Amino acid sequence: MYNVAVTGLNAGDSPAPGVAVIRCLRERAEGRVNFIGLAYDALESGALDKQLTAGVYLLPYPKSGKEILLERLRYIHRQIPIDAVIPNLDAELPNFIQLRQELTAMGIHTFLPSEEQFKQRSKENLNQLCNRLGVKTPITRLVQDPSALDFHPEDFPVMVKGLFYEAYAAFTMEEAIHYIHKVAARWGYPVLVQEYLEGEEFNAAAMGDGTGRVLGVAGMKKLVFTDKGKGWACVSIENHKLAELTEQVVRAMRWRGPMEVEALQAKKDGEFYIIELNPRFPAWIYLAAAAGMNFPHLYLQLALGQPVNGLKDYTPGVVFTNYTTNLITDLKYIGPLYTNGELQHEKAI
Amino acid sequence: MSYDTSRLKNVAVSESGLLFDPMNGAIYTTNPVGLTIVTALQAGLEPEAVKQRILTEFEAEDEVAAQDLFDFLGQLLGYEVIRHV
Repeated sequence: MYNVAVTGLNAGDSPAPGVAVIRCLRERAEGRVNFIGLAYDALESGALDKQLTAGVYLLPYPKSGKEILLERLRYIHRQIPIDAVIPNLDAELPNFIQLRQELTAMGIHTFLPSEEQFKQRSKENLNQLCNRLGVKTPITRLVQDPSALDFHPEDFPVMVKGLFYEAYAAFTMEEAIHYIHKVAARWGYPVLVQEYLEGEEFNAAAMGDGTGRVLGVAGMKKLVFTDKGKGWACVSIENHKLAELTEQVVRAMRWRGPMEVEALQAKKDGEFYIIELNPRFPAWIYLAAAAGMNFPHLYLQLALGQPVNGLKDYTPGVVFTNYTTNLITDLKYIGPLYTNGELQHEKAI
Repeated sequence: MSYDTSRLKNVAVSESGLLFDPMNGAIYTTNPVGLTIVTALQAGLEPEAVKQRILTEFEAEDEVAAQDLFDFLGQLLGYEVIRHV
């Protein structure tokens, strides 16, 4: 029996990947995996699902730093020995990556990219990386001071993006400044202002073994969008150009771990432009597993040092849609999560 | 006039008239006449032979079948699943 800790349990209209990652693992676990939820808030929806995890522990926010996180993980590890951890949120990944050696020494295994790899694909370095790899990406400027913007009317529209999350299309200078302030208030500077390209967005999930080997690529197209641009309903696709682009990136970077490629096929030239490279599983990862590529299962095998085979069989035309439901609980029941930062779930009936 | 139907050949077709392009995730629906046209083009038939199949299967008049085929090919061109050669 393995104990696997998973973060990113929010499953709202802008879902984190954790719940989907657990569902992927459960399909292959055959009862051999016990899931431990790691949350930042007592009301992260997946944390309250008794059927999802055996229990939940709150983590300190990423800005508290790696030492505080390590202390907390040591405490949790004493309560229930963790065999592997799967961090699923951009903002927490730097701490987990920096703690890889300490965690391994404790017996907590990961399969994460290096700090250098993580930085190379960050939004502020994406232009430089894509130039080096010979792949296209929209022109992006880093903004430290919105009062120094020197945009002309012909530069609009532009995309205004936070370093970790949030993106808005701005059609005028006033809108751009408004969104820059809004994004900076939440995620800090620099804020990214990206060339707006008209076209169709495509996504791909992949797994690299860290030596340049690509263990699989799964393509996806959004069918229904939320107002934040997230995919509410999606379909698996088989697009060779997208797959080749994704393989090129993972191979050239010798990427270690899961990656999501967000790309746009531009109307102007039909070429794929990389919009973002996310250093983790995407929230739609259960679709990839349903279509034949169970990347979280690969992650666990790789983290535990088990031999893996690349995934090849992929079925296009598999559709998923999110749907909301209500989890009912009692404040008394979730009280320990608020007061002690931990909750052992009762067995669901 | 001939068409390159190589991309159309990858389009998944269900008996109910649902078409799925695995290249870009596009989903289309069509009626029985459209379904006949798509399957005939996927089988490599030239437009004249496709029209003959419509005439046989739907007992349509020649002019109507020709117009339906012309309109439908226009839509397939618009969706870029076939191309002029």
